[in-house]
Amino acid sequence: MNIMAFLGSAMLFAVFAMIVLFVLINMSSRLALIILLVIPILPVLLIPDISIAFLSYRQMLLASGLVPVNNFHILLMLWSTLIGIILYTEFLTWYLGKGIKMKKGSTGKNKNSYQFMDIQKNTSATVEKVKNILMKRN
Amino acid sequence: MPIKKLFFLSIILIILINPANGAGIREENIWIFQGSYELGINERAYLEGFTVKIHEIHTVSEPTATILIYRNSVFKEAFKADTELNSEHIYDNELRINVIDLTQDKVSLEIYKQKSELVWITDIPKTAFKTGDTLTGHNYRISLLDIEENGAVIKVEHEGNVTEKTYKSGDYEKFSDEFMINVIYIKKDTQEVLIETMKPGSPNIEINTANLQDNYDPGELLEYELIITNTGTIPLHGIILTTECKEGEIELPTQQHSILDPGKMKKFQIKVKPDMEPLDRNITITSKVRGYDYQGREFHGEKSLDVNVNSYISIKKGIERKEKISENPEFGTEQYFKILITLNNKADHQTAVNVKDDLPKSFIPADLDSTEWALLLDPEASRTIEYFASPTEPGDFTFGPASVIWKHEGKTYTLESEAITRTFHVSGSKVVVKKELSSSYMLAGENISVLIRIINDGDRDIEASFEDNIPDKLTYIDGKKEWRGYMEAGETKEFSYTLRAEKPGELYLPATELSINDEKGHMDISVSDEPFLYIDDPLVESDTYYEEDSYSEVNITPETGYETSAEGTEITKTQAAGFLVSSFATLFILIAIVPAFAYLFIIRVYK
Repeated sequence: MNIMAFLGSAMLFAVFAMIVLFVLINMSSRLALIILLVIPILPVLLIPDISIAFLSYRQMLLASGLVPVNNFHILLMLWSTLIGIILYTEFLTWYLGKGIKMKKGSTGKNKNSYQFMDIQKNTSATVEKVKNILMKRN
Repeated sequence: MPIKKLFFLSIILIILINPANGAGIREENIWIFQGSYELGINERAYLEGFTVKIHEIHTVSEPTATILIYRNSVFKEAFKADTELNSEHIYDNELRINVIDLTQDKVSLEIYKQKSELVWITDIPKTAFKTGDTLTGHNYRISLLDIEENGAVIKVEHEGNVTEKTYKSGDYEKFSDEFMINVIYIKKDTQEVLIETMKPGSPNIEINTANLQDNYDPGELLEYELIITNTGTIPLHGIILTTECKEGEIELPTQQHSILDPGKMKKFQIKVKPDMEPLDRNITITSKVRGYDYQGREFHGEKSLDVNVNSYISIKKGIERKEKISENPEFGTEQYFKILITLNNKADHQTAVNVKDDLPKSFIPADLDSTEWALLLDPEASRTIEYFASPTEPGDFTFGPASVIWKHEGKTYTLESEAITRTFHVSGSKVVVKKELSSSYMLAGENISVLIRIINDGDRDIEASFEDNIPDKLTYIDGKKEWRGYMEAGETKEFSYTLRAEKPGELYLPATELSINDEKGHMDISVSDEPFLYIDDPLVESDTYYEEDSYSEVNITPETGYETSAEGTEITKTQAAGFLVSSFATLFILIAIVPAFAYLFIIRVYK
């Protein structure tokens, strides 16, 4: 394992992740998702030799050489992490903005009690709701 | 005739007496310090001809002691003494006892004896003076002023005093305790005076030892002689020898001797019983000698001795080489060894020990699983372990030391026997066969060479033969795959032959079996290893092309500083971008499943 190569790659990936997170927080989650896809693809199209060599560079061999870890694997891991962050941010934003209102609308009696409910109460209420639905179906 | 004889006899007597007079000047009848003593009740101080004994001590009101004086072991006098007015007692104008201190059970005494003793020694030897001559010494100056009818007029300046006096032949004068002048003879015919000066002498202590060994066994009495010599110029009195040893017990810690004349020696017997210790160590015995001159000035001497005392456990290892009687000896070696390990416990207690002996690698002990023994050693007893070992190959061997481990007061101690420096030779035949391939990887259709190396490592000439079998996947091409011949001791022979691989696969080449018949008719077989061979498929043309192309790809990587693991893989930028997009999409879909379902669920339920 070449330490210098590993550090260089790690820095590139860190910068990439930070750009995406910055856009996600300050601008828009959709823009962040586009940047997440475009930043790795652009170099592959512009400077394919170097980009492919970079992505196929083997950083380490795990499990006694059985599991090679290339930069491409690291990119995939980074992608999955950031996609997860973006998607769940989007989902939670929707849920906290619109989803709760929808739930409030359906259970008009307890309007005030749901106003400041925490995640635990929210979850238990949802579970209770699901149970009721299933009971009705049966 | 009788008158003549009487005359000569008188002359001889005068000649003999004269030096005695000379010596008489050097001696003084003075109270000579005999030593300081600290005596308890019934304890005695032995002096030359006298014994002083403390009879009783009274400490009721004023402390007093009754002291007895014996002369040549005959009681002479008893007197009472204290530390006040009666502190000094003189017996018969010969012995003076001063009581220095008096306690409930001890009396401190200083004892003096009146005696004529050598005090003066020559400072400046006999010197001839003429009128006007001057002689300067350490703190004096002598000038001969004139030689008159009734003697020589001599001026002496000493410590600021000036004395002018007329001296006759043989006159002497003591100016102080430090300086004395002796006018030996006045030669009136040549107008010369022979003068010598004298100063007081001093004793000197020199200590030597005799009969001291370098090593002692534990429990053994350490006995030697300590010789004290007075190398000074006047006698030494009140000699007290004190011996100390932290690691042992001294039989007589303090010994005394009354007087030691110059040039004389006194031997003291020193006996020390060293403490019992588990390991070898050095013990230090310090002897201090104290003595006094006639004025009571103290003189010292000291000598320290380092003596090695052995461990109470000892181990000895002995090796005996023996010839094997059998015509066809075991392991092809003609000698075996008898090993004797003797353990000795000199302690006065039983000791449990573990004994370990390491044999050379190729040795096998006879009828033993291991060369380790746990034993119980009785006090002051020894035990011997005897076993046999046989070498499995000939050669020169050295044996390491045997070790014994035991515990003493919670600590573990290890002792090794002395190293055996002797090298033992074992005769026998030893033949090593090695089989090697030029490469363990080859392609079908390629040739490979097999090398067989035979080394006669023993000290016997041998007749040997071998014939190699060729496996099915290989074909014999040329070379020597069989041999029969004669090899001298130490000789090495090499044979090689070529094989061609016919079919791909993996195989172990069969071992070469060498039949040996040594000069004593002993037959044996030596077998080589089985070398591994991998025969690969021959390369196809497209593969060669692909390999070459992949090199051009690899050549790029060092420039960019990356090591690629995708050797031999070519991918276009579109493919790479497509792959990345599809990977991204797959990940996105996978991760989005859960929130998408949650979203749909919430919308449907709470619509």
